[in-house]
Amino acid sequence: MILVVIRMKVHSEKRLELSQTMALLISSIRAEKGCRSCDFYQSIEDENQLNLLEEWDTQESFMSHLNSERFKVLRGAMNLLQEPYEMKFHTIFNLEGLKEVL
Amino acid sequence: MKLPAPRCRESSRQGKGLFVVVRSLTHAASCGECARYSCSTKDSRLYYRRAFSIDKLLLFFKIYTISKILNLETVRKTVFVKETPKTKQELLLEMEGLRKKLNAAEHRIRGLTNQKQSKEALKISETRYRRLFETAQDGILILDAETGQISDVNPFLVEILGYSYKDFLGKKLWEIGPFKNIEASKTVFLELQDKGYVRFEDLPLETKDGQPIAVEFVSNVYLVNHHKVIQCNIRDITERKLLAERLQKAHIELERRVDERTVELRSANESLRKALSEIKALKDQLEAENIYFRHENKMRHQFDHILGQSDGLKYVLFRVEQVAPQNTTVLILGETGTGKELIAAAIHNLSPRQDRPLITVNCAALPASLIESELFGREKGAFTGADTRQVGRFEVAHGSTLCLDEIGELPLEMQAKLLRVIQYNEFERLGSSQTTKVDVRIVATTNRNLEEEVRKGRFRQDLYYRLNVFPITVPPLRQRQEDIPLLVQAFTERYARKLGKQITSIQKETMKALQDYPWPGNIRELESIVERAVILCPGPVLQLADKLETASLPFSAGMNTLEEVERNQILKTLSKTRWRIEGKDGAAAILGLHSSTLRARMHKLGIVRPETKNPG
Repeated sequence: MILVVIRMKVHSEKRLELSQTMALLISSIRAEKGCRSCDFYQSIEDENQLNLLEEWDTQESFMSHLNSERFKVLRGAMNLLQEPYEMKFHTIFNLEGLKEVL
Repeated sequence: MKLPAPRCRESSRQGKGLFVVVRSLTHAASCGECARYSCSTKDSRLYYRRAFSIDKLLLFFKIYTISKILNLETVRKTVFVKETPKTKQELLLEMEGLRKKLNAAEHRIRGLTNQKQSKEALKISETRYRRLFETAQDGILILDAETGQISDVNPFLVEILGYSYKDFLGKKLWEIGPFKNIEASKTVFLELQDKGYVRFEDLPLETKDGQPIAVEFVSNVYLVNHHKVIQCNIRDITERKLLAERLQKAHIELERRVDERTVELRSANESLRKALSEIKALKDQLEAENIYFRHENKMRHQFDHILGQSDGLKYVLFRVEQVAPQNTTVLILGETGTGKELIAAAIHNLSPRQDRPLITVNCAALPASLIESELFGREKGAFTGADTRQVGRFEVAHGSTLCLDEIGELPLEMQAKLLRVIQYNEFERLGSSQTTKVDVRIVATTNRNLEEEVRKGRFRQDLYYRLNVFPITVPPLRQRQEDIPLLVQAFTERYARKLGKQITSIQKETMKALQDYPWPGNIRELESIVERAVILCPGPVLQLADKLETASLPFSAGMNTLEEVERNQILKTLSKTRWRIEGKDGAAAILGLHSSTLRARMHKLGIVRPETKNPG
């Protein structure tokens, strides 16, 4: 499984616009093949700090998401940020072990 | 058997076929004895047939003829004059004897004739060959193979060597001037004797007057009456040699020229090859440097007038698609020249209101006093000069979309009125108390940061909230760098078509400069720069007419403080005057300041003349 975290620091006056866009995008991202989850979060410390969290079944499904028009729109929305966004990928390879711990 | 002698006349009456023969014989023998006894019996016809076959009669005739030719009376007499009749046997024997004699005579005659003919032929041949020998255009020398003595020489040789016949005849080969190299001549002679054949392609000889000549010398031995004779054919090849030498010279000269020319050609070829490779390199460079405008349709989308492929634009169009079908008020934000009005039009064109025209009001273009009547209309006599009733833009836009361009420039008092229309969809015309209800979709655009304007108290917060329902921020061109080539091509084509020019490419470097430029005026600025470039472009490659200066250009309008502007202005002026402050053309005069004031400002702003610049 692939976990993707996109951290965004938005201009306060653009927060509404970005949030609207994200709200529109995540529902369609969730419908993409191989998407386990897609959620948009706001930091309680900094209202302009927004995070997008995506979970993908496989690298292939994540790669196809990266090549999708939705992802291009998302990248276009990054123009609303104060500073460049940060994107992190995590590959989780042993879920069984984690289950035991939990 | 005795043969009676009949008369010729009688016998001539016998068989017709023999009549001629008999007559002839009779005539030939001049009625001699032969006729007499050959036809002398009564049955002469039969007898004569037996005794004288036609062959025999012919033989007689032949004998007679020959004897007449040779005037051989004896033969005639022998044949024809016969005193006593003879038996057939005797006659046959006699005839045999005669035949033999005749053959011998014939043989003799033939021999005599042949000899005569041979003599004549020999004479003809001798004349012919002598003539050939004398008129030959080669020198011919005949000598005795045993002694080497010259027996004949033809006139041509005499002429070319300049000697007389006497000098040659009876002398030996090596005794004559031309062959004075005795040893060599003797050797040749011996070789000739030995081999029977000698040939010299180029033998040097000398004429009597010492002139050197070259000859081709061919000689061979043959037998004449068991006696060896040498015939030497001497051909003057001096001229031929000269010609050959000249030809050789010409050939050498030609070779030399060919060599020279080859060297020249080779060097020309080399330089040509160099030039070609240079051309190829330049072509490659040009191809690498130039971006050719290609007609690609993949960039097109459903928004006809909106060009671009960038993520930034995709984002904007996504927002447009999302909001267009609804009645929501849209606030389009973006720097000046980013194409906000195009986005507004796109929203309208994708909305259910697309059948009605989009009404646009530029809030910055109208003075505050007029904007109210422009937006809401007025009644006749509403104010001085209002002599007609005017329908406002809101009324015109009923059922459609109203685009409020540059809403940030709207005066505060109008903002309240606008808020009421947006909130309740109703208003009153100027000078009227009647409320008009309208169904208008508002799309507002601004290049200002309205939140900032609200904070500064220049924009009503409640209006801002009403407008900022669905904001769409159009990214500045510098955030859409990948769209610049497409826009450049589109503008180039547009203006080239207008001006009837053919512009097919742009240098890679130029395109890079265009992409690196921050474009404070955004697409509007790009368009005007391309337009100027097309106007002034002399060839098919687009060249910029303007210099894109990035340093002094602010990234966005209103971002500079007054101090920055002042510093920039002073620096600009000083650089123009080459740091001269005083005087008529000094910086102080240009800036409208006293020189000491300028100095004080410069000190305050920390403007120091750079050391590296030309002092004085």
